[in-house]
Amino acid sequence: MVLNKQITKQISALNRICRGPGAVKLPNDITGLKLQFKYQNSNGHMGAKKFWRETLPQIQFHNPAIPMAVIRTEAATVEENQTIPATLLVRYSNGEEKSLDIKEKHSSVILNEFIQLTKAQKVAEKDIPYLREFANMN
Amino acid sequence: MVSFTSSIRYNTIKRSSLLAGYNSVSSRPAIILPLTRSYAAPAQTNRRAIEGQVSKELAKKKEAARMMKLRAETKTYTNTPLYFDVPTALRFIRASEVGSPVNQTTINMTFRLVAEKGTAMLQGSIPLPKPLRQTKICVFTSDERLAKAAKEAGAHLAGSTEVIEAVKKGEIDFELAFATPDVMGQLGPIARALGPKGLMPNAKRGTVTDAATILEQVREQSGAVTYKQKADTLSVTVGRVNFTDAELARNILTISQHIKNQSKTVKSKKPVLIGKTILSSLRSPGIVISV
Repeated sequence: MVLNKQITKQISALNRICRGPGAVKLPNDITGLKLQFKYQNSNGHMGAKKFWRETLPQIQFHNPAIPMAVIRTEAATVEENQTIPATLLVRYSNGEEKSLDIKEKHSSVILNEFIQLTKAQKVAEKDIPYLREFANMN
Repeated sequence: MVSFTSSIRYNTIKRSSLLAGYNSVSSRPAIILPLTRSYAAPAQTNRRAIEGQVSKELAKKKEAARMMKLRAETKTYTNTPLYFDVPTALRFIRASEVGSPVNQTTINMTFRLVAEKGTAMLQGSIPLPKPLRQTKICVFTSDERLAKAAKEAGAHLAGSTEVIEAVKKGEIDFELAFATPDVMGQLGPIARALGPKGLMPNAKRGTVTDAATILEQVREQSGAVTYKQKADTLSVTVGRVNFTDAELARNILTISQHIKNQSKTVKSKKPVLIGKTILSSLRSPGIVISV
C-alpha cells in the first residue's frame, strides 16, 4: 500500500533520528556529554552546529540514559567571535573529563574523532528500528 | 428562455402602461393575456427545489459515509508504520529535543474525536500526578485553621485581611481564587480589581463554598492541566522531556482515562469515539500511540 506524502515525510524524519552514522552505543562509564559553541557559525563553528542538529539526536536515541547538554554563547565583539572555542566534553563516572577541540572541523570528522576518543561501538543493524515507506497493511 | 420571457414581460408592461389611459375608452383585453404567459417561472423554481433536495440528500449520504469511515478508523488507527509503544515514542521525542532549553520541550498528546456534527465540545481540567507547574491559588478565609490546611494542600496564598490589603495595593499574584461565605462582605472594596481578571469568587461558579469543598478543589486545581476541544481534535499537555518515563506514563494514563470517561458523558445519538492519538513535542515528529 502506497502511503500519502504526509506519512512518508514523518517516516523519513523518524528514520533520520534512529539511523545514520551516529547510531553508536557509548561505553557504560560515560555519564554525560557537553557541546559548547557559538551562536554565530563564522570562524569554524558550523561543523559543531551540524553535529548537534544531525548526529547528536542519533547518539541520544541509542544512549537514552546519558544526558547531553548543548551550550551556545553569543559573541558580542569581533575579538570574541574569533576567540570563543568550540569543544565537545565527555564526562566519566570517575570524575574524569576529556575534551575534544571541534573548531574548524566538519561534522563527520567530529563524529569520527568522538568515536575514537570514547571507543563507542556501532549499533547492530537488527537493533535499529526501520520504518519502511511501503508498509504491509493487514 | 429567460431572456424570452423577460422581453415579453417588458413589452407587455410597456404597452399596457401606454394603453392605460385608453382602456376606459376602448378596452383591449387581448393585450393583457401575455402577462399570464410570463408567469412560466414556477416550473423552474420547482426544478431548483428538487435539485436542492437531491443535493442535500447526497450531502447527507456523503457525511454518513465519512462518519462510517472515521468510526471504522478508530479501531484500526494503530495499523500504521508511525505506531510505537510509549517508551520508544519517548526515546524518539527525547532524541529530537536534544540540546533544547527544557522549558521549550513540552510534550503534547492529541486525540482525534469522532462525533456527530453539533455535538458539545469537550473541555475541562485534569489533575495530573506530576504537574508541569503549580497553579497559583488564593483562598480568602477568616478561619485560620482552613488557611493553614489550604496552604498545605497547595494554595499559594491564604488568609483574610493581610491578603485583601495586598490586593488593595495592586499585588495580585494568583490565577484562581476561592472564598468562604463569611469573608464575602470584606471583598467588596477589591471586587473592582479582581472582577475584570475573572478572579472574583462567586457562588454561581462554585468558588464561594464551604471549607471541605475548597480544600478538595485546591488539591485538584493546583496541579491541573486545562484542555479545550477545537474542531475534531483535542490537545492536552503531558509533561516535559526532563520528566522520567514513569512520571510521563502516569500522566499519559491519567489523561487518556479522563478523556475516555469524559467522552462517555457527552449527550449525543451516537457515542463519541476516540480515534488516532498522537504523542509529539515542539521539534519531534508525531508518533501514534494506543490509548
